Amino acid sequence: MKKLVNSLLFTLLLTLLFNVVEQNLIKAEDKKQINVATNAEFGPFEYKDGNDIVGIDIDIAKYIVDKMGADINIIDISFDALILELKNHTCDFAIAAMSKNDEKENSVDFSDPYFIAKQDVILPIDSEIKSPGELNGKRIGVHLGTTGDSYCTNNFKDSEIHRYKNGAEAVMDLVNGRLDAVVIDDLPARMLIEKNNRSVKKMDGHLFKEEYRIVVPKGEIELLYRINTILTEMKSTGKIDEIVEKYTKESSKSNNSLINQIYNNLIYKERYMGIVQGLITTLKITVVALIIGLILGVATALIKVSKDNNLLMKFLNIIANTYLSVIKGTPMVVQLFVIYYLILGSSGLDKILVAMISFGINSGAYVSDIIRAGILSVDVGQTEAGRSLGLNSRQTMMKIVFPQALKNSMPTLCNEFINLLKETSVAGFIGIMDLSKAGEVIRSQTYEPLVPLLSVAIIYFSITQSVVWLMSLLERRLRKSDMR
Amino acid sequence: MICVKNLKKSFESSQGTIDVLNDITTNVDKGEKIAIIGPSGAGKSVFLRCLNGLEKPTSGEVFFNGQCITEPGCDMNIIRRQIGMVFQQFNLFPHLTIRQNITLVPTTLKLKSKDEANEIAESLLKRVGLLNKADSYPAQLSGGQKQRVAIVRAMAMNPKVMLFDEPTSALDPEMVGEVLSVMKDLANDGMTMLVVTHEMSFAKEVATRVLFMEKGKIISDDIPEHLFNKSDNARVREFLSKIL
Repeated sequence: MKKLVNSLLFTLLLTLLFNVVEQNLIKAEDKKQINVATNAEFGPFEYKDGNDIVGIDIDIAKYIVDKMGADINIIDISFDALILELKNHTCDFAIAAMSKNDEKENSVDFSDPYFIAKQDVILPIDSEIKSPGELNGKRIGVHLGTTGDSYCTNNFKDSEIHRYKNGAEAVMDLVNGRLDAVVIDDLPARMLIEKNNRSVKKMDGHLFKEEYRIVVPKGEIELLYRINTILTEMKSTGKIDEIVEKYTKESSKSNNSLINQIYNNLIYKERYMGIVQGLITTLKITVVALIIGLILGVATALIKVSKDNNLLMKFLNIIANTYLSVIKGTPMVVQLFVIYYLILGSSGLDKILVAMISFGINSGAYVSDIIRAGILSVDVGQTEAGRSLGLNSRQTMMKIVFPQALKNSMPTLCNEFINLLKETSVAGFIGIMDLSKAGEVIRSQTYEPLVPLLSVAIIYFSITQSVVWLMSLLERRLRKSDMR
Repeated sequence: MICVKNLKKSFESSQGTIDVLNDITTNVDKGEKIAIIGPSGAGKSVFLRCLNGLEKPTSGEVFFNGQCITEPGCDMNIIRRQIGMVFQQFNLFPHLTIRQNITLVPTTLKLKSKDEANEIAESLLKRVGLLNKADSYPAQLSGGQKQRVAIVRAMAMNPKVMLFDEPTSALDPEMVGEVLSVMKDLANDGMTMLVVTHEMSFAKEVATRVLFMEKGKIISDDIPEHLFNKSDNARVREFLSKIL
């Protein structure tokens, strides 16, 4: 147990240390540094490739900042937070495939458009839909939170709108007949159609066009002027076309064979590294959460089975009961959000550390029930025997009842560990690159869901199976005393 | 040694209050071997369990060597070290070896060093013929062997008195003898014993006194020769005629 605690402390310290170093690096401000905010979840405009943020927008931003004679510092934040960041002047400008709308224009200023995105409609190959007008009432898949999403929501009132986290998943559903059409930017659309050219086609013409602009804080006229000048130059010299070309050509090289998909999704650009790092993160979170969960679970279980009736125990009992009912009565994702944004929102703790704590707190409630059931399953005669020999109730619990309870609970605890491991896949919701998220990122880069999904599934499965196997070994050792 | 005064115990149940012990008063002197017999539900076990505080009496007092152990302030953990108890279901600790079962409490309470406790365990196991089982687990023993270990476990605390709660009732008939003979040995060594039992032969041969309980009362307190041959209590005669 001491070793466990030590290694837990070590992990905590390490995470804290990394945090401090990271923050200091960002703070090391140079006069000539320009902070550019983006939301790296919209390939090919901005996305993560391993640990790098790349994409058309990023290259444009780099070119602009370079022209200004400054260094670029890219900040990756959520799409909703971009406007807030600009308002607070915590960044100099934002580039994230954003288009103008009245609501935004009140609080920020927009540059000239640097790219005209057209929303295209992807249809099944045998679809008879010919014009946008026919889409109303059909099942339409869109990319969550994009202009395509709001356009369809506003214009096709009779339609079921299905919102996806990336276009590839929407097209999978289209191919499988769950959708009648997918509305998405023309660039991703072009790639998606190429990948699935036997089963889908593009509807003639565009659904509508939208213009992407760089966004600056309200009133930064000088900056806006400089950006516009550089953009004009980039357009006339063909620089923008060159960048767009660079990011759209890459994927059209590939074809559909499985070997090719494996190469493209795992080996090309060392994409497997993302999965390896995600796996390490997942394991770190699971193991630390398990330890936190065991400590919390055992403590609350002992409080709940205690027969002491003093004021302190009554108080602890109320706390334990509240903890158990709140945690068991709400979904894990909601708990993660509440802890991450509300309770520890201003603490500045590392995301992974927050996840460890959140999953630990969640798991603790279930461990508590498991341990409590284990304790109650031990025959009352055991306690009586211990007490009749002169042990006090605490000694009886620790020396006689608890060891038996733990042994009885082993199989269920093993299940809880497996559940915990799988449950950590929601860590991606607060932007942690865990195993599931790593798969998702590759999917959004390659537009091929099959290989990343299967790889991730196989890895989860192998871990859970090894845990089951290890537990059966451990159980066999613990059952030594039952053999006749 | 043990002095019981007006002991009462009642349980609340759905049918109302049940009086399990109804005004018990008796004395146990050092060296006495008392058999407690009577029909089931008479309160024999509850009476025994009141003597080491496993049951809390509703009212009345129990004195052990002059100390009132039914007072709220009394440290039962200290008292219980001097009162050994053997249960019907043995209640050995299944996760520990026989040796550990015996040495756990003396070492946990720091009454004995590990070596001392071990020595005592081995000599006691030798006495009951189970030294070769010292490193087995309870599940590997027969019922009779388990009960002998349970007696040894209680004896390792060097108690002043031993309570037996139907020690042979859960045993197969052929194993009753081995447990009774250990108990007889103990009696011959002068141990003070209270035994709730259905083994009339034991009550006849070993007991110096027999308490007959029914409906929470001691209705006969007699020496065995008299009780078994010419008891003047009609209820006792009826009970004995049914089981003998």
